[in-house]
Amino acid sequence: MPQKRRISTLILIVFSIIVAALGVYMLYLYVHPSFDELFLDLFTGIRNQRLFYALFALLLAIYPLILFSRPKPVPERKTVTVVKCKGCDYREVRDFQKGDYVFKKMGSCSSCGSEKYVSAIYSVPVSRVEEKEEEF
Amino acid sequence: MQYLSQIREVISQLEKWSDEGKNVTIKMIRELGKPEKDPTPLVEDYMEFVLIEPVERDPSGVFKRLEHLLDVRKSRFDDLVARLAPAADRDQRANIAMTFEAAMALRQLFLVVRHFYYLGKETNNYAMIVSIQVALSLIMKYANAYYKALKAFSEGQPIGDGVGALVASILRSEFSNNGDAETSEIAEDVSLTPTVFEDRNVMIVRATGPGARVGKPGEAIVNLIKESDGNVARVIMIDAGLKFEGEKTGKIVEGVGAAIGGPGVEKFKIEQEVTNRRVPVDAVIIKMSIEDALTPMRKEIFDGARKAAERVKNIIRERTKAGDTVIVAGIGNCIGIG
Repeated sequence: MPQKRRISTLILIVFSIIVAALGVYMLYLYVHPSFDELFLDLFTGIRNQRLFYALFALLLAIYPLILFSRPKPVPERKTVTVVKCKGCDYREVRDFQKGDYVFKKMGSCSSCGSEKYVSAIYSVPVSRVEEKEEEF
Repeated sequence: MQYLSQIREVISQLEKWSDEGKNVTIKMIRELGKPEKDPTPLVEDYMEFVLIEPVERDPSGVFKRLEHLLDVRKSRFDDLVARLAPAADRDQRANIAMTFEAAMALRQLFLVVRHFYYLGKETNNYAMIVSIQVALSLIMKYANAYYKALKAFSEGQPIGDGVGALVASILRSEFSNNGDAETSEIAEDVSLTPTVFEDRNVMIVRATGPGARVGKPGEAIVNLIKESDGNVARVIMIDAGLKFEGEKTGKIVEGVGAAIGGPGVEKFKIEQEVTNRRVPVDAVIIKMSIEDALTPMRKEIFDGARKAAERVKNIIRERTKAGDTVIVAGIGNCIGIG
Protein backbone atom coordinates (compact mmCIF):
# COMPACT_ATOMS: atom_id res chain seq x y z
CA MET A 1 0.00 0.00 0.00
CA PRO A 2 1.48 3.41 -0.92
CA GLN A 3 2.52 5.67 1.96
CA LYS A 4 0.01 8.42 1.02
CA ARG A 5 -2.91 5.98 0.95
CA ARG A 6 -1.85 4.41 4.24
CA ILE A 7 -1.90 7.82 5.96
CA SER A 8 -5.35 8.73 4.59
CA THR A 9 -6.72 5.32 5.69
CA LEU A 10 -5.28 5.92 9.17
CA ILE A 11 -6.89 9.38 9.35
CA LEU A 12 -10.24 7.89 8.32
CA ILE A 13 -10.02 5.15 10.96
CA VAL A 14 -9.21 7.74 13.69
CA PHE A 15 -12.13 9.89 12.46
CA SER A 16 -14.49 6.90 12.54
CA ILE A 17 -13.42 5.97 16.07
CA ILE A 18 -13.96 9.53 17.39
CA VAL A 19 -17.38 9.86 15.72
CA ALA A 20 -18.41 6.37 16.90
CA ALA A 21 -17.39 7.24 20.49
CA LEU A 22 -19.49 10.39 20.28
CA GLY A 23 -22.41 8.35 19.01
CA VAL A 24 -22.09 5.84 21.85
CA TYR A 25 -21.98 8.70 24.41
CA MET A 26 -25.15 10.22 22.89
CA LEU A 27 -26.80 6.83 23.06
CA TYR A 28 -25.80 6.56 26.75
CA LEU A 29 -27.32 9.96 27.46
CA TYR A 30 -30.49 8.85 25.68
CA VAL A 31 -30.79 5.65 27.71
CA HIS A 32 -29.80 7.21 31.08
CA PRO A 33 -31.19 10.74 31.19
CA SER A 34 -31.41 12.72 34.44
CA PHE A 35 -34.86 13.46 35.96
CA ASP A 36 -34.61 17.16 34.93
CA GLU A 37 -33.88 16.16 31.38
CA LEU A 38 -36.88 13.85 31.30
CA PHE A 39 -39.13 16.73 32.46
CA LEU A 40 -37.55 19.10 29.92
CA ASP A 41 -37.97 16.53 27.16
CA LEU A 42 -41.73 16.76 27.52
CA PHE A 43 -41.53 20.31 26.09
CA THR A 44 -38.36 20.34 23.96
CA GLY A 45 -37.85 16.78 22.65
CA ILE A 46 -34.09 17.00 23.51
CA ARG A 47 -33.96 13.33 24.39
CA ASN A 48 -35.20 12.29 20.95
CA GLN A 49 -32.69 14.61 19.36
CA ARG A 50 -29.97 12.73 21.24
CA LEU A 51 -31.13 9.47 19.73
CA PHE A 52 -31.11 11.05 16.30
CA TYR A 53 -27.56 12.42 16.80
CA ALA A 54 -26.40 9.06 18.13
CA LEU A 55 -27.69 7.20 15.06
CA PHE A 56 -26.32 9.86 12.73
CA ALA A 57 -22.88 9.67 14.37
CA LEU A 58 -22.80 5.87 14.18
CA LEU A 59 -23.76 5.95 10.51
CA LEU A 60 -21.11 8.59 9.84
CA ALA A 61 -18.54 6.39 11.56
CA ILE A 62 -19.43 3.32 9.50
CA TYR A 63 -19.71 5.06 6.11
CA PRO A 64 -15.97 5.58 5.41
CA LEU A 65 -15.30 1.98 6.43
CA ILE A 66 -17.86 0.76 3.88
CA LEU A 67 -16.56 3.16 1.25
CA PHE A 68 -12.94 2.13 1.66
CA SER A 69 -13.44 -1.54 2.44
CA ARG A 70 -11.25 -3.61 0.17
CA PRO A 71 -12.89 -6.10 -2.16
CA LYS A 72 -12.18 -9.77 -1.52
CA PRO A 73 -8.88 -10.69 -3.21
CA VAL A 74 -9.37 -12.81 -6.32
CA PRO A 75 -7.45 -16.10 -5.98
CA GLU A 76 -4.56 -16.47 -8.38
CA ARG A 77 -5.13 -19.02 -11.14
CA LYS A 78 -2.86 -21.25 -13.13
CA THR A 79 -3.45 -22.97 -16.46
CA VAL A 80 -2.69 -26.67 -16.60
CA THR A 81 -2.49 -29.14 -19.48
CA VAL A 82 -3.78 -32.69 -19.11
CA VAL A 83 -2.08 -35.28 -21.34
CA LYS A 84 -3.70 -38.69 -21.74
CA CYS A 85 -3.04 -41.87 -23.69
CA LYS A 86 -5.61 -43.39 -26.05
CA GLY A 87 -4.57 -46.94 -25.15
CA CYS A 88 -3.86 -47.02 -21.41
CA ASP A 89 -4.52 -45.16 -18.14
CA TYR A 90 -1.57 -42.81 -18.58
CA ARG A 91 -2.45 -39.36 -17.34
CA GLU A 92 -0.18 -36.40 -16.75
CA VAL A 93 -1.13 -32.99 -15.39
CA ARG A 94 1.49 -30.31 -15.96
CA ASP A 95 1.79 -26.53 -16.37
CA PHE A 96 0.54 -25.13 -19.67
CA GLN A 97 3.34 -24.58 -22.20
CA LYS A 98 3.24 -22.34 -25.26
CA GLY A 99 2.19 -24.41 -28.26
CA ASP A 100 -0.17 -26.70 -26.28
CA TYR A 101 -3.72 -27.03 -27.59
CA VAL A 102 -6.62 -29.36 -26.88
CA PHE A 103 -6.45 -32.60 -28.95
CA LYS A 104 -2.81 -31.97 -29.90
CA LYS A 105 -0.99 -35.23 -30.63
CA MET A 106 1.91 -35.73 -28.22
CA GLY A 107 3.75 -38.74 -29.67
CA SER A 108 3.59 -42.35 -28.53
CA CYS A 109 3.09 -43.56 -24.99
CA SER A 110 6.19 -45.09 -23.38
CA SER A 111 4.20 -47.81 -21.61
CA CYS A 112 1.77 -49.06 -24.30
CA GLY A 113 2.93 -47.43 -27.54
CA SER A 114 -0.46 -45.85 -28.30
CA GLU A 115 -0.86 -42.21 -29.13
CA LYS A 116 -0.75 -39.57 -26.39
CA TYR A 117 -2.78 -36.38 -26.78
CA VAL A 118 -3.73 -33.23 -24.88
CA SER A 119 -7.16 -34.07 -23.45
CA ALA A 120 -7.77 -30.82 -21.57
CA ILE A 121 -6.41 -27.34 -20.88
CA TYR A 122 -8.03 -25.35 -18.10
CA SER A 123 -7.28 -22.90 -15.34
CA VAL A 124 -7.54 -23.77 -11.65
CA PRO A 125 -6.83 -21.76 -8.49
CA VAL A 126 -3.14 -22.08 -7.60
CA SER A 127 -4.00 -23.65 -4.23
CA ARG A 128 -5.79 -26.51 -6.01
CA VAL A 129 -2.90 -27.44 -8.31
CA GLU A 130 -1.17 -29.35 -5.55
CA GLU A 131 -4.33 -31.29 -4.77
CA LYS A 132 -5.16 -34.49 -6.60
CA GLU A 133 -6.89 -33.59 -9.85
CA GLU A 134 -10.24 -35.26 -10.30
CA GLU A 135 -10.44 -37.54 -13.33
CA PHE A 136 -11.53 -35.78 -16.50
CA MET B 1 -13.27 15.45 -4.76
CA GLN B 2 -13.19 11.87 -3.61
CA TYR B 3 -14.99 10.74 -6.79
CA LEU B 4 -12.50 12.65 -8.93
CA SER B 5 -9.53 11.01 -7.26
CA GLN B 6 -11.13 7.57 -7.71
CA ILE B 7 -11.71 8.23 -11.42
CA ARG B 8 -8.14 9.54 -11.80
CA GLU B 9 -6.83 6.34 -10.23
CA VAL B 10 -8.86 4.22 -12.68
CA ILE B 11 -7.71 6.31 -15.65
CA SER B 12 -4.05 5.87 -14.74
CA GLN B 13 -4.63 2.12 -14.29
CA LEU B 14 -6.35 1.89 -17.68
CA GLU B 15 -3.52 3.82 -19.32
CA LYS B 16 -0.99 1.46 -17.76
CA TRP B 17 -2.89 -1.62 -18.97
CA SER B 18 -3.36 -0.11 -22.43
CA ASP B 19 0.41 0.52 -22.72
CA GLU B 20 1.10 -2.95 -21.43
CA GLY B 21 -1.25 -4.36 -24.07
CA LYS B 22 0.64 -2.53 -26.76
CA ASN B 23 3.98 -3.78 -25.38
CA VAL B 24 2.74 -7.39 -25.20
CA THR B 25 1.64 -7.15 -28.86
CA ILE B 26 4.99 -5.71 -29.94
CA LYS B 27 6.90 -8.36 -27.97
CA MET B 28 4.79 -11.10 -29.54
CA ILE B 29 5.39 -9.73 -33.05
CA ARG B 30 9.13 -9.59 -32.39
CA GLU B 31 9.24 -13.14 -30.99
CA LEU B 32 7.03 -14.90 -33.53
CA GLY B 33 7.24 -12.68 -36.60
CA LYS B 34 10.95 -11.85 -36.67
CA PRO B 35 10.33 -8.51 -38.42
CA GLU B 36 13.19 -6.69 -40.13
CA LYS B 37 11.94 -3.25 -39.04
CA ASP B 38 10.82 -2.06 -35.61
CA PRO B 39 7.04 -2.82 -35.44
CA THR B 40 6.35 -0.13 -32.78
CA PRO B 41 5.33 2.80 -35.07
CA LEU B 42 2.88 0.67 -37.08
CA VAL B 43 1.36 -0.87 -33.93
CA GLU B 44 0.96 2.61 -32.43
CA ASP B 45 -0.72 3.85 -35.62
CA TYR B 46 -3.28 1.06 -35.53
CA MET B 47 -4.02 1.17 -31.78
CA GLU B 48 -6.92 3.56 -32.36
CA PHE B 49 -8.14 2.06 -35.63
CA VAL B 50 -11.87 2.66 -36.04
CA LEU B 51 -14.74 1.05 -37.90
CA ILE B 52 -17.43 3.52 -38.89
CA GLU B 53 -20.68 1.62 -38.65
CA PRO B 54 -23.10 1.87 -41.57
CA VAL B 55 -26.02 4.27 -41.37
CA GLU B 56 -29.13 2.64 -39.89
CA ARG B 57 -31.70 5.28 -40.81
CA ASP B 58 -32.19 3.35 -44.04
CA PRO B 59 -32.13 -0.16 -42.57
CA SER B 60 -32.51 -2.05 -45.83
CA GLY B 61 -29.37 -4.11 -46.44
CA VAL B 62 -27.65 -2.82 -43.32
CA PHE B 63 -26.18 -6.26 -42.52
CA LYS B 64 -24.71 -6.57 -46.01
CA ARG B 65 -23.07 -3.18 -45.62
CA LEU B 66 -21.85 -4.03 -42.13
CA GLU B 67 -20.45 -7.38 -43.30
CA HIS B 68 -18.60 -5.64 -46.11
CA LEU B 69 -17.03 -3.18 -43.68
CA LEU B 70 -16.09 -5.99 -41.26
CA ASP B 71 -14.49 -7.91 -44.15
CA VAL B 72 -12.50 -4.85 -45.18
CA ARG B 73 -11.40 -4.32 -41.57
CA LYS B 74 -10.35 -7.97 -41.23
CA SER B 75 -8.39 -7.92 -44.48
CA ARG B 76 -6.63 -4.71 -43.40
CA PHE B 77 -5.64 -6.37 -40.13
CA ASP B 78 -4.58 -9.61 -41.82
CA ASP B 79 -2.36 -7.61 -44.19
CA LEU B 80 -0.95 -5.58 -41.32
CA VAL B 81 -0.11 -8.66 -39.23
CA ALA B 82 1.40 -10.40 -42.30
CA ARG B 83 3.61 -7.34 -42.87
CA LEU B 84 4.53 -7.01 -39.21
CA ALA B 85 5.20 -10.70 -38.58
CA PRO B 86 6.42 -12.29 -41.82
CA ALA B 87 7.89 -15.37 -40.11
CA ALA B 88 4.74 -16.26 -38.12
CA ASP B 89 2.55 -19.15 -39.29
CA ARG B 90 -1.23 -18.87 -39.88
CA ASP B 91 -2.24 -19.72 -36.31
CA GLN B 92 0.39 -17.45 -34.78
CA ARG B 93 -0.80 -14.57 -36.97
CA ALA B 94 -4.35 -15.14 -35.78
CA ASN B 95 -3.13 -15.04 -32.16
CA ILE B 96 -1.17 -11.83 -32.80
CA ALA B 97 -4.27 -10.21 -34.36
CA MET B 98 -6.42 -11.21 -31.36
CA THR B 99 -3.83 -9.88 -28.86
CA PHE B 100 -3.81 -6.66 -30.86
CA GLU B 101 -7.62 -6.50 -30.59
CA ALA B 102 -7.48 -6.91 -26.80
CA ALA B 103 -4.87 -4.13 -26.56
CA MET B 104 -7.08 -1.91 -28.75
CA ALA B 105 -10.11 -2.59 -26.53
CA LEU B 106 -8.10 -1.49 -23.46
CA ARG B 107 -7.00 1.64 -25.30
CA GLN B 108 -10.61 2.42 -26.21
CA LEU B 109 -11.77 2.01 -22.60
CA PHE B 110 -9.00 4.33 -21.42
CA LEU B 111 -9.90 6.99 -24.01
CA VAL B 112 -13.65 6.86 -23.23
CA VAL B 113 -13.26 7.12 -19.44
CA ARG B 114 -10.70 9.94 -19.77
CA HIS B 115 -12.98 11.77 -22.21
CA PHE B 116 -15.93 11.82 -19.82
CA TYR B 117 -13.70 12.71 -16.87
CA TYR B 118 -12.32 15.78 -18.65
CA LEU B 119 -15.73 16.71 -20.03
CA GLY B 120 -17.30 16.52 -16.56
CA LYS B 121 -14.51 18.63 -15.08
CA GLU B 122 -14.53 21.22 -17.86
CA THR B 123 -18.27 21.75 -17.73
CA ASN B 124 -18.46 21.39 -13.92
CA ASN B 125 -21.06 18.72 -14.53
CA TYR B 126 -21.21 16.91 -11.22
CA ALA B 127 -23.87 14.49 -12.49
CA MET B 128 -21.50 13.34 -15.24
CA ILE B 129 -18.69 12.74 -12.75
CA VAL B 130 -21.04 10.78 -10.49
CA SER B 131 -22.30 8.69 -13.41
CA ILE B 132 -18.71 7.74 -14.35
CA GLN B 133 -17.97 6.90 -10.73
CA VAL B 134 -21.05 4.66 -10.61
CA ALA B 135 -19.94 2.83 -13.76
CA LEU B 136 -16.31 2.47 -12.62
CA SER B 137 -16.63 -1.00 -11.13
CA LEU B 138 -18.25 -2.31 -14.32
CA ILE B 139 -15.65 -0.59 -16.52
CA MET B 140 -12.85 -2.09 -14.45
CA LYS B 141 -14.47 -5.51 -14.70
CA TYR B 142 -14.35 -5.32 -18.50
CA ALA B 143 -10.86 -3.81 -18.50
CA ASN B 144 -9.59 -6.51 -16.17
CA ALA B 145 -11.07 -9.19 -18.44
CA TYR B 146 -9.31 -7.72 -21.50
CA TYR B 147 -6.08 -7.35 -19.54
CA LYS B 148 -6.15 -11.01 -18.52
CA ALA B 149 -7.11 -11.96 -22.10
CA LEU B 150 -3.81 -10.47 -23.30
CA LYS B 151 -1.87 -13.25 -21.58
CA ALA B 152 -4.22 -15.96 -22.84
CA PHE B 153 -4.05 -14.71 -26.45
CA SER B 154 -0.29 -14.18 -26.43
CA GLU B 155 0.32 -17.70 -25.12
CA GLY B 156 -2.41 -19.40 -27.16
CA GLN B 157 -4.42 -20.65 -24.15
CA PRO B 158 -8.07 -21.64 -24.70
CA ILE B 159 -10.50 -19.02 -23.37
CA GLY B 160 -14.02 -19.42 -21.98
CA ASP B 161 -15.60 -18.09 -25.17
CA GLY B 162 -14.15 -21.08 -27.04
CA VAL B 163 -16.37 -23.56 -25.20
CA GLY B 164 -18.72 -23.95 -28.21
CA ALA B 165 -15.78 -24.89 -30.43
CA LEU B 166 -14.55 -27.24 -27.69
CA VAL B 167 -17.90 -29.07 -27.57
CA ALA B 168 -17.73 -29.47 -31.37
CA SER B 169 -14.20 -30.88 -31.04
CA ILE B 170 -15.27 -33.32 -28.30
CA LEU B 171 -18.16 -34.54 -30.47
CA ARG B 172 -15.90 -34.79 -33.52
CA SER B 173 -13.48 -36.88 -31.50
CA GLU B 174 -16.25 -39.18 -30.22
CA PHE B 175 -18.15 -39.57 -33.50
CA SER B 176 -15.17 -40.12 -35.75
CA ASN B 177 -12.89 -42.59 -34.02
CA ASN B 178 -10.78 -40.14 -32.00
CA GLY B 179 -10.99 -37.24 -34.41
CA ASP B 180 -9.39 -38.93 -37.41
CA ALA B 181 -12.22 -37.91 -39.79
CA GLU B 182 -11.45 -35.71 -42.77
CA THR B 183 -11.95 -31.99 -42.22
CA SER B 184 -12.38 -29.37 -44.92
CA GLU B 185 -12.83 -25.60 -44.91
CA ILE B 186 -16.43 -24.77 -45.80
CA ALA B 187 -16.38 -21.00 -45.24
CA GLU B 188 -13.84 -18.39 -44.21
CA ASP B 189 -11.91 -19.80 -41.22
CA VAL B 190 -14.61 -22.41 -40.60
CA SER B 191 -14.02 -26.15 -40.92
CA LEU B 192 -16.50 -28.94 -41.51
CA THR B 193 -16.15 -32.54 -40.33
CA PRO B 194 -18.80 -34.98 -41.64
CA THR B 195 -19.37 -37.75 -39.06
CA VAL B 196 -21.96 -40.42 -38.25
CA PHE B 197 -23.70 -40.83 -34.89
CA GLU B 198 -26.31 -43.57 -34.35
CA ASP B 199 -27.14 -43.68 -38.09
CA ARG B 200 -27.50 -39.91 -38.40
CA ASN B 201 -25.20 -37.83 -40.59
CA VAL B 202 -23.79 -35.23 -38.27
CA MET B 203 -22.02 -32.28 -39.88
CA ILE B 204 -19.74 -30.71 -37.29
CA VAL B 205 -18.93 -27.08 -37.93
CA ARG B 206 -16.52 -24.91 -35.95
CA ALA B 207 -13.88 -22.24 -36.46
CA THR B 208 -10.53 -23.55 -37.68
CA GLY B 209 -8.18 -23.97 -34.73
CA PRO B 210 -5.97 -23.83 -32.84
CA GLY B 211 -5.38 -20.18 -33.79
CA ALA B 212 -7.56 -17.38 -32.43
CA ARG B 213 -10.40 -17.34 -34.96
CA VAL B 214 -14.16 -17.15 -34.90
CA GLY B 215 -14.66 -17.38 -38.65
CA LYS B 216 -18.00 -17.10 -40.42
CA PRO B 217 -20.07 -19.97 -39.00
CA GLY B 218 -23.27 -18.40 -40.33
CA GLU B 219 -22.00 -18.61 -43.87
CA ALA B 220 -20.91 -22.21 -43.26
CA ILE B 221 -24.38 -23.24 -42.01
CA VAL B 222 -26.09 -21.48 -44.92
CA ASN B 223 -23.73 -23.19 -47.41
CA LEU B 224 -24.42 -26.59 -45.86
CA ILE B 225 -28.20 -26.13 -45.96
CA LYS B 226 -28.02 -24.96 -49.57
CA GLU B 227 -25.73 -27.86 -50.57
CA SER B 228 -28.16 -30.39 -49.10
CA ASP B 229 -31.07 -28.54 -50.76
CA GLY B 230 -32.72 -27.94 -47.43
CA ASN B 231 -32.63 -31.59 -46.36
CA VAL B 232 -31.34 -30.80 -42.90
CA ALA B 233 -33.43 -32.16 -40.03
CA ARG B 234 -32.01 -29.86 -37.38
CA VAL B 235 -29.36 -27.28 -36.65
CA ILE B 236 -27.87 -27.45 -33.15
CA MET B 237 -25.80 -24.49 -32.06
CA ILE B 238 -23.54 -24.44 -29.01
CA ASP B 239 -22.16 -21.21 -27.63
CA ALA B 240 -21.04 -19.45 -24.47
CA GLY B 241 -23.68 -17.22 -22.91
CA LEU B 242 -23.55 -14.55 -20.23
CA LYS B 243 -24.69 -15.79 -16.84
CA PHE B 244 -26.77 -13.84 -14.38
CA GLU B 245 -24.97 -12.88 -11.17
CA GLY B 246 -25.51 -15.70 -8.70
CA GLU B 247 -25.60 -18.39 -11.38
CA LYS B 248 -22.86 -21.01 -11.51
CA THR B 249 -20.17 -20.82 -14.19
CA GLY B 250 -20.43 -23.76 -16.58
CA LYS B 251 -24.17 -24.24 -16.14
CA ILE B 252 -25.94 -25.58 -19.25
CA VAL B 253 -29.21 -24.21 -20.55
CA GLU B 254 -31.13 -25.24 -23.64
CA GLY B 255 -33.32 -23.20 -25.91
CA VAL B 256 -34.22 -22.43 -29.49
CA GLY B 257 -32.72 -19.89 -31.87
CA ALA B 258 -29.37 -19.03 -33.36
CA ALA B 259 -26.89 -19.13 -30.49
CA ILE B 260 -24.26 -16.76 -31.77
CA GLY B 261 -23.03 -13.36 -30.64
CA GLY B 262 -21.02 -10.71 -32.43
CA PRO B 263 -22.34 -7.84 -34.55
CA GLY B 264 -25.32 -9.89 -35.77
CA VAL B 265 -24.27 -10.51 -39.38
CA GLU B 266 -23.82 -14.28 -38.98
CA LYS B 267 -26.93 -14.59 -36.82
CA PHE B 268 -28.99 -12.80 -39.47
CA LYS B 269 -27.76 -15.17 -42.22
CA ILE B 270 -28.64 -18.26 -40.17
CA GLU B 271 -32.06 -16.94 -39.17
CA GLN B 272 -32.91 -16.04 -42.75
CA GLU B 273 -31.88 -19.42 -44.18
CA VAL B 274 -33.50 -21.61 -41.49
CA THR B 275 -36.70 -19.60 -41.72
CA ASN B 276 -36.87 -19.93 -45.51
CA ARG B 277 -36.25 -23.70 -45.32
CA ARG B 278 -38.26 -24.25 -42.10
CA VAL B 279 -35.31 -25.92 -40.37
CA PRO B 280 -35.62 -26.06 -36.55
CA VAL B 281 -32.71 -24.54 -34.61
CA ASP B 282 -31.74 -25.69 -31.11
CA ALA B 283 -29.41 -23.78 -28.82
CA VAL B 284 -27.19 -25.17 -26.07
CA ILE B 285 -25.66 -22.44 -23.93
CA ILE B 286 -22.81 -22.77 -21.45
CA LYS B 287 -23.11 -19.93 -18.95
CA MET B 288 -20.22 -17.75 -17.80
CA SER B 289 -19.36 -14.16 -16.89
CA ILE B 290 -17.69 -11.71 -19.26
CA GLU B 291 -14.42 -12.25 -17.37
CA ASP B 292 -14.70 -16.03 -17.75
CA ALA B 293 -15.37 -15.62 -21.47
CA LEU B 294 -12.16 -13.69 -22.11
CA THR B 295 -9.77 -15.31 -19.65
CA PRO B 296 -8.16 -18.79 -19.76
CA MET B 297 -10.87 -21.45 -19.69
CA ARG B 298 -11.81 -22.42 -16.13
CA LYS B 299 -12.19 -26.06 -15.16
CA GLU B 300 -15.91 -25.53 -14.50
CA ILE B 301 -16.34 -24.45 -18.13
CA PHE B 302 -14.31 -27.39 -19.39
CA ASP B 303 -16.51 -29.75 -17.37
CA GLY B 304 -19.53 -27.86 -18.74
CA ALA B 305 -18.33 -28.65 -22.29
CA ARG B 306 -18.49 -32.40 -21.54
CA LYS B 307 -22.03 -32.05 -20.19
CA ALA B 308 -23.04 -29.90 -23.18
CA ALA B 309 -21.72 -32.59 -25.54
CA GLU B 310 -24.00 -35.12 -23.80
CA ARG B 311 -26.97 -32.72 -24.18
CA VAL B 312 -26.25 -32.42 -27.90
CA LYS B 313 -26.20 -36.21 -28.23
CA ASN B 314 -29.54 -36.40 -26.43
CA ILE B 315 -31.05 -33.78 -28.76
CA ILE B 316 -29.86 -35.78 -31.78
CA ARG B 317 -31.29 -39.02 -30.32
CA GLU B 318 -34.64 -37.54 -29.26
CA ARG B 319 -35.41 -35.09 -32.05
CA THR B 320 -34.02 -36.71 -35.18
CA LYS B 321 -34.37 -40.16 -36.72
CA ALA B 322 -31.98 -42.56 -38.45
CA GLY B 323 -30.85 -41.27 -41.85
CA ASP B 324 -31.37 -37.60 -40.98
CA THR B 325 -28.73 -34.95 -41.52
CA VAL B 326 -27.95 -32.74 -38.54
CA ILE B 327 -25.70 -29.70 -38.40
CA VAL B 328 -23.87 -29.23 -35.10
CA ALA B 329 -22.18 -25.83 -34.92
CA GLY B 330 -19.76 -25.00 -32.10
CA ILE B 331 -19.50 -21.22 -31.96
CA GLY B 332 -16.69 -19.25 -30.41
CA ASN B 333 -13.05 -18.31 -30.50
CA CYS B 334 -11.14 -21.53 -31.00
CA ILE B 335 -7.78 -20.35 -29.64
CA GLY B 336 -5.94 -23.32 -28.12
CA ILE B 337 -8.51 -25.83 -29.37
CA GLY B 338 -7.50 -28.17 -32.19
